[in-house]
Amino acid sequence: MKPDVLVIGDSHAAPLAWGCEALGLKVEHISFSGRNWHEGNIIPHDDHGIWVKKRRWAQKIFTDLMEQLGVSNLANTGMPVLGSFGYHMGRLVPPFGWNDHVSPAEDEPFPENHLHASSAFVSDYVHLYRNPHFRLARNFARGSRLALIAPPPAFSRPNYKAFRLEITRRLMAEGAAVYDPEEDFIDPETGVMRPELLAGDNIHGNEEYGRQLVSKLIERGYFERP
Amino acid sequence: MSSDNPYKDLPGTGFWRTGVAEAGLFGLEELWRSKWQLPVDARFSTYGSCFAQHISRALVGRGISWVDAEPAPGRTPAALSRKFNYGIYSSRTGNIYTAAQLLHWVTLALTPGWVDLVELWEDGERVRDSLRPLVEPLGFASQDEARKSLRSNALAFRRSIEQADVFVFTLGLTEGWENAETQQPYPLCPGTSAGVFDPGRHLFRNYTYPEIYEDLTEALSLMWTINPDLKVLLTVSPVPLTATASGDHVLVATTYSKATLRAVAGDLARNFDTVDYFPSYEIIASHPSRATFFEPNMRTVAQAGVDYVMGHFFNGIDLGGPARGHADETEDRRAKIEQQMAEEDLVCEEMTLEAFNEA
Repeated sequence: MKPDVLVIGDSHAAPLAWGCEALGLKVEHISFSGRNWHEGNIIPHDDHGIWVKKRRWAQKIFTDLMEQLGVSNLANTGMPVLGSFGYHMGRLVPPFGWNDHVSPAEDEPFPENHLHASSAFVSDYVHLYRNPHFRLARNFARGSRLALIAPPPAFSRPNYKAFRLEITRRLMAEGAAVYDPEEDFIDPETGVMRPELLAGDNIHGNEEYGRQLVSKLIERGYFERP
Repeated sequence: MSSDNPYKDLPGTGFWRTGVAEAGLFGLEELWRSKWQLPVDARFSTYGSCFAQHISRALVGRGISWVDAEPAPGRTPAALSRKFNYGIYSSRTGNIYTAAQLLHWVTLALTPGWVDLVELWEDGERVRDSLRPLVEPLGFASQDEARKSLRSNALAFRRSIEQADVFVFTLGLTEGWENAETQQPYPLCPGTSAGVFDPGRHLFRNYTYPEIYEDLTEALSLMWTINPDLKVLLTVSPVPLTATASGDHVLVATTYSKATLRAVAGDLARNFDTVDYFPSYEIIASHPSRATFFEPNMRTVAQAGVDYVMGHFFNGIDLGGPARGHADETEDRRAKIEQQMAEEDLVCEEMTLEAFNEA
């Protein structure tokens, strides 16, 4: 049976899949940890939409799905795709701060005695490590109804906001619709996500977050319920 | 028959015939011997006109400890570092051509709040700070960002003084431009690469020997309040002026500029035990080299010349003192961050597996 929605991404894709299932949708879900995405082995592919280098077991998951759907290009199915790829900030942002650099977002203060990095530098840095993901977003945005979802704002750490905004900007420039849960899930008192929506690791959203998230995506028109 | 006299016991290097004419360009010896014995792990900060960046690179190439108080963010590839002017000098000041500029940077290091007075230039929708107009390839996104970056740079400049055993400064020019109201010096004439030239606000200065000596003395005095043990090694860039606003022929202006700087550097080295002079200018630009080390434009110093200068530098430096031992917190911080990333990786791996848990 043809699925209602494809969910593709990193570990933040799990709540998306759970949320779709909770709303009675049939989901095909493929996810790899952010480390696999960050290492640059999951790349855009002209013929198949997406390809995994060096990890045959991972590519087989995509190949099997294409066979199951009867398509040769996973980015060109015409189906709705919910994605959580392109960010993977747990691998990108911490090394940026190794030498104590901070690139504050416009509304953030700059902490004294840190090294300042400009927004232009962040833009080039993000491009360097995420350009294949942006091209992948372009592939999917051209051939499917793609909505990408930024990671839940689970914590407040230096540089995360600036990187998040820059990646969102770049993904949107590639034609992807991007939903940032900051719009609806921030607790105004703490500036981060409400704890009851977080998994025990305090990084990922839980099943209830997934349900609310997908409902919000439908409500805001990022995703049309079949 | 000559009687005893001061020249009788001079070494061969004290006579032109043996020191230069017979030695030949590549036989020059003992051009410089450092005044000081430095610790084997002595740390060097480097600043100055464009020739100074060769000193930074040579120190790093030799594995000598070079203070990088404003490194690029972690995992920045070399090309991106260069594009944003990281790793050129010990902080991201860009070229410091004049003594007045050095004094200005030292003043900012001591009173970083004064960065709010630094003139900013609009460049389309971007902003450039007039002390470092080219440090960011496209300029800054806003005035606020430019000031935050400048303040961070001023504090890094201060750390590069605090952390150094030797502050190497290459004097480049006597000519410069200043703001008529604030006396803020500019590294470049406004309107040449950035900014808009305003003859009412932008004053040409051809600093004289007394002014340069005074600015340098004041700059060094302030630096010694930051680091009382700091030693200062002065050099004069052998690179001629690109252009002069003095009205003189550029060759004449270059000679004035270099002669003045050379005299100031020599006198400071003579007057302070903690100041030394290294003769990079003489090695490259004096007539025994017959312009061997210049590219055909007679201005750009060829890599062979840089290597030759630095060969004399490393021959003359004495790193025979006992190690001081310097704590480096960067590695600890990196290790902690790596560990945190590995732990979060594990969490993410578990989350991707949990997605398939249908129990």
